[in-house]
Amino acid sequence: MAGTAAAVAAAAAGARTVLISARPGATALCSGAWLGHMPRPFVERLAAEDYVVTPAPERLPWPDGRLLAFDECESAHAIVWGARALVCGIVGVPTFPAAVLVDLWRDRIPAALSSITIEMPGTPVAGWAPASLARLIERNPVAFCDAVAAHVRRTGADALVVPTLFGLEAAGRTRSAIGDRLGVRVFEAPGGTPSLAGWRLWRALGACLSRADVSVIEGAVTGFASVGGRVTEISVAGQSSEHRLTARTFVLATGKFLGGGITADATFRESVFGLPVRVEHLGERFDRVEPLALTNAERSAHQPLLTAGVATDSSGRPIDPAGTVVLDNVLVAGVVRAGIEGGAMNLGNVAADGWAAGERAAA
Amino acid sequence: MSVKNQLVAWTNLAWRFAVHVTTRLPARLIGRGHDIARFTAAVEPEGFLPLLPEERERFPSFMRCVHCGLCAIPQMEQPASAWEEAWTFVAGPSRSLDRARLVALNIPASANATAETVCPTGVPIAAMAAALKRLGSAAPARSSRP
Repeated sequence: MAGTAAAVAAAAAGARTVLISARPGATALCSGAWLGHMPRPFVERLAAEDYVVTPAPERLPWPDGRLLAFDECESAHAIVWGARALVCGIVGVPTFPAAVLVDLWRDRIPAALSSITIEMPGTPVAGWAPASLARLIERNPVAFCDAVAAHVRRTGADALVVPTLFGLEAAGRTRSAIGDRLGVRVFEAPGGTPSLAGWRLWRALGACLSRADVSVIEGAVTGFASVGGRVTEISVAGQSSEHRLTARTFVLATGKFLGGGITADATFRESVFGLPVRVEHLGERFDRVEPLALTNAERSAHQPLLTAGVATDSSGRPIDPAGTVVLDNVLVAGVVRAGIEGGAMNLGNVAADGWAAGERAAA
Repeated sequence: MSVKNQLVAWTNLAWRFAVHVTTRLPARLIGRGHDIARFTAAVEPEGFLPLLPEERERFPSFMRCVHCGLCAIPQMEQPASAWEEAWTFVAGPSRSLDRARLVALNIPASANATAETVCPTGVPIAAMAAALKRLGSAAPARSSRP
């Protein structure tokens, strides 16, 4: 996310920009809702790719029964409950048990909730591959409408809440088509695995890069050269060829553990420039990976290990433990920075950080 | 157990341990002895076959799956069951090395190089499927005994 935001911002500012992209990272696993606010110009670019970002409602229902607070979400998840809402599960999708969820959400939702579990034609005995069901509904929303229409009429629902399964690419159009046919507003409850919401965001980011004329090289940085504390050149192993790239400024937005920006074996290591990695916890600085001290047995509690990253000065340049800038023309953005917790769903903040780094790089 | 029997048992244990340390461990170091052959003869009928050196080298990367399910998305153009997802194979049956014959019959076509291009942790899904196929074709048929 930070890398794409930085590249689009730099390109928008007139800089010739190249993005080196390895594999999808945590962004492609996002739930479709996040903390923080994406920069408005970036939101507009995403909207042009049929990915509409809106302020999140006060609490979003999660398929594990919780109601969670976020700042922004994809419009598909911005649920307006109305007076009556029908929560719809689908046979063969065990991760969204509609009847159970209604019981868990009922007292905390300002609407009369009811549930139904419909069966789509051709449901496999072993249950659906979620992506294939999303593709099926995207291509033929009428089959879903036929299965649920009678229940919508019976309950008098004005909102229909479904799992995030309503399309891989044209999700907005799919929901509109279903909503128009049934005469209700259709929303997807965020969350669930695999994350089709994350896949949609990943595709929209790729389309943004393409429209912004950012050159994308799929590969990984294998080395770099520096003179006088400035990076002069990087080597990139692409899928079929090697590249040597020079630039005035490099933005490091490689993510943390999942993205591959930081590795944690015996010690921490930043994977591109070998920058110093910092973890601070209880007033102590850790150089080595110490699971007992840096992790919490309660999975959802604060995990200090996830704050490992590259410390920066106020301009975003990497610094060593003494506070000296290590590489003068490198800007660090996103969760690869120290202190920003990976996995905290703070995609909006990360996008803002990346956008700011891109603007600084192009200045 | 009487004291006499206990002493006999301890003495026997000490003797066996001394033989093991003084003869069999050195014999293993110089490649002599039949321990490996006896071990594989005992476990191969159960379906546990030795991995090839290159498979052994890659095996830790097989375990890097974080169960995100991303590999289950790109190739699902037609209606499909959960068993036809690369994810189901990578996160589940691929771990059943002792049932490689059964697993090899059900490796989905989607467990291929396309699936691994979107894997955040770089699990070599195609190599994993190939290893299971090899183990499946080489594994002996299991007896009907439980």
